[in-house]
Order: sequence, then C-alpha cells, then structure tokens
Amino acid sequence: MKKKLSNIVGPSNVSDNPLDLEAYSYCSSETQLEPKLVVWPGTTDQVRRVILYANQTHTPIIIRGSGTSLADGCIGENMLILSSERMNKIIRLDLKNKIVEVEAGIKIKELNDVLSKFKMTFPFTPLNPTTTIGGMIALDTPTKESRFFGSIHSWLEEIEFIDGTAKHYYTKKKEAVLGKEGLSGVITRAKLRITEPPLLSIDIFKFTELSELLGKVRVLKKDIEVYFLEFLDKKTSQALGFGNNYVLLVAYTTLKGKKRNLLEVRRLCELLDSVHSLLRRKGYYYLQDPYVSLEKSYDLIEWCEKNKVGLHGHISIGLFYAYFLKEDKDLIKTFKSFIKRINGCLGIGFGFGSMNKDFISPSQKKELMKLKEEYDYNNILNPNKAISYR
Amino acid sequence: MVVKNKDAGNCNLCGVCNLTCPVYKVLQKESAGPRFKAFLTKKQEYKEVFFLCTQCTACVQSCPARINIEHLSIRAEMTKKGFETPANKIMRENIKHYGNPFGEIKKGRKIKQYYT
Repeated sequence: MKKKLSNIVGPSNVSDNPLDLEAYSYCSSETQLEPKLVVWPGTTDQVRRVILYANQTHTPIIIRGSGTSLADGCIGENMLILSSERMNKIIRLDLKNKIVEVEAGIKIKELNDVLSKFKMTFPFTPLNPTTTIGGMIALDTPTKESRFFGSIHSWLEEIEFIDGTAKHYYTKKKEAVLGKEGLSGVITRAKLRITEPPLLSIDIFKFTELSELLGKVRVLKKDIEVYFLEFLDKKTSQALGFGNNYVLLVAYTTLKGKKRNLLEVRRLCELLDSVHSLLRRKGYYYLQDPYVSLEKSYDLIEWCEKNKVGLHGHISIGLFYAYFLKEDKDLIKTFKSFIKRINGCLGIGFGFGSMNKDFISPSQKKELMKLKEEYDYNNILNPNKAISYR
Repeated sequence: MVVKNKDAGNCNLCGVCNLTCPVYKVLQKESAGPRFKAFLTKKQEYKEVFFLCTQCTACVQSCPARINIEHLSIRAEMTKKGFETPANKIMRENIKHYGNPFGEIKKGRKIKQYYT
C-alpha cells in the first residue's frame, strides 16, 4: 500500500515510520489510536487519487488538519491518515474584490498574519489559532465574531472538495461539506471573503447577580451594533483585574462604548484573547464546549461555579468554554449528563467526533446519513465519526 | 531516563506550539513539532526527535500554559546513555578538533587564527 501511495504523492509524502504513526495517534483529546499509514498530499489531484485508491482497497481514511480535535475527530485505529498540513498555501489574494483563495491546510493565524499586512482580515478567530481553514469549514465553528457576522457560510464564496467516491467538486453549494465534519468530502481549497478589521469601542459591565447579567444580555442581543458579547465568570474576571464579579465585555462597531481609544480597545481585545492562556496556567486542563439557550445559561453558570469549573464564552450565541482541573476528570461525566438534562449540547464548538455522538439530534443524524449515501456510500471518509453509518 | 519534566504533564496537546516552531514549519509533519516532544515527555519516552530542535524556545513563548520541555537536559541524558544522532556526533567531533561545529578549518591551521 505504501508503494502504491508513494507513486501518487511521492515517497517523501507517505510514511509508515513508527515515529510518524505515533505522532498521528493523538489529537488534542486524550485518546490514542495508532493509524496504519500517514499521507501528506500536496494537490487536489493527489487527494482525489488517494481517495480513489482507498475506495479500491476499502481502506478507511481519517481527514486531519492540525490535529486539534477535542472529540477524537482526527484519529483512527489502523486507518489511513490524510493530512492537509502540506496544503497550506495562499493561492490568490484579490484585494479589489476582497477575496482570498487558500488551500485547506492553512492555519487561521497564518492566514490572518498575512492578511494583516494588507490591513485585511478573515474575521473569525477560533479558540485555537492553529485550526485550519478546512477544519473551520468542516466544523462550521462558531467564534465570538459569529454574533455579528453569522456563520462562516456567508464568508465562503466557493469551495473545492473531493467526495468519498473521488468525485471532484468546485462549487458555490457549500452545504455538502460545511459543518459535516469531513463525512462527505475532503475540503481542498476555499475562496473566502475578507474584510477590513472593524473599528471597535468597548464597554465593560460588571454584575454581582446572575439575573441582572442575563437581563443585560437579553437587551444587548437585540442591538445590531454589538460586535461581540463575551462572558467571564467571577474567578476569571478576578484574575483579569475586574474584581469578584461576573463580567460582560461588549464590543460595538460604532463609538457607543466607553472605551474608544484605539490602544485601550486593542489592550482589551488582547486581554480577552489571553483568557484561555490564563485559565490553562491556573492549572485547568480539560476543555468542554457547552452550548445552551440563554434561559439555561443561568443553570450552567451556577453549576460551574458550584463545581469550581472555569467558564467563559460567547454568551449571545450560547457557546461557552468550560475548563476542568486535571483531577476533575470524573466530573466531566457528570457535566455531560447535566448538559443533557438542561437540553444543552456538546460538540458545537469542537465538533461531535467520536466523543460527542450522543449529542447529535435525530434530524442532524438523518441529514448526515443522507449525505453519506449521496457522497460516500462506501463509508471511506471519517467512518464512525459523528454517526455510525453501515 | 532521569530527566523528569514536571511541566510536560500539564500539556493538553492543543498544538499551538507547532504554529511557531521553525522545525515544524520546514518539515510540516507532526513528528517534527514540539507537541510530539511534549507527548513523548509525558510518557517519559525519549526518542531521536528531541534532536530535531533549534532551542529557540518559540514553543514556550506561544504555549498557553507556558510549558517548557527541557530539550537540552533530555538530549544530554540521551547522549550519556549512548544515544546520539550521527549529525550530533560529527558536530561534537568538529567542535573538539576545529573549534566550530562545521569543521571548516584545515587541520594545519591554528584555531586561534580562526577566532582572531
């Protein structure tokens, strides 16, 4: 198999070296599953030929970007790992029409670093800056900017992907792969809309009572000038110097906020970006992505406070990040059942993968089954992720 | 191995370190990046990949938890136990004989001249 694949991608782009197999046996979750082979295609045609070969030999493929899945989304026992790490180029930058065409393996931070030189940005910043564009599309990851810009859907002009039967698509219809966790196709290229970074002003609201905070969120949710609306729990806000309060950090696209000075706004945005680092340095180890309605946010915040779980997140869209200490591993099970009990969901931010399968709704399951039937009836791509097909 | 890295146990393999690592940027594979080294350090398994590091500490700077894998101590320990890459062996010999890791001075010349 290695020989066949090296004919397709070149000998340096395929490996069965035990070191490489070990390196691709993990992602950001704790599970370890050793693959059979790792392949790094460099072009769309190579991806197509690899999938064609996998179909002929009935070899299941796991699609992997930068391996940041927290739900075992990019590992597979005895499977073929198709890594997009070497498909990481910017193909075309059209500043006039504000379009950038990139390969799927480019990381969001790398892309935005280049765009910032042209005073442009792809305005979505996931929690992990290593996330690839392909990964962001496959998970349809909500970020703090989703409050203002909506889903990544409207920022995708065109998308190129190879489905499970090795059929090539370059299409404006993104629904086949957007948010489908690689079950229907391997994303190889995307044409993205970009924009100038918005000028923001910021307000900081501090609350001692949760009910007051949620009341404010209800009002701010209706405000179309709100760019993002971020929640910090008491411990986090104390560590950031906001005192022992619940904090709402609200950014506006107008000069409505009290903090208008460019440097001050930048400092606050950087402070907000440092929350993850801060919690990690405090010893929090495990991360979960609860997604709850605003009404149930009260229960979630209270539960986390009671169980000493760190919490922050995009309260306007209902997506939070819950941080658990290393010794609290067992608490995660209780947390999962608690989230189910309050009709919440896990997997919206980090994907369903193998770990959050229980949270997929029947309608989502039905849709994914239908897609599998249409695009990957041999069940070659990401088998047993999100759904169990055949 | 004697080296015990307390820090590495706190690594949750988020992979942000790979983003800034110059070795990973060139080789573009997981086994060359600092995350794999952290993964091995957690398991106390030291392999040749520890020699794939420029000691620039960009990984420490970018790590959300500021984890520092002590590559140098690990390498020293590995060398003591007799494990060394051929390139490292040549480099060490060159330093001994010529005063530089590249072995660029001809045998007849004095090292002193090279430095002045």
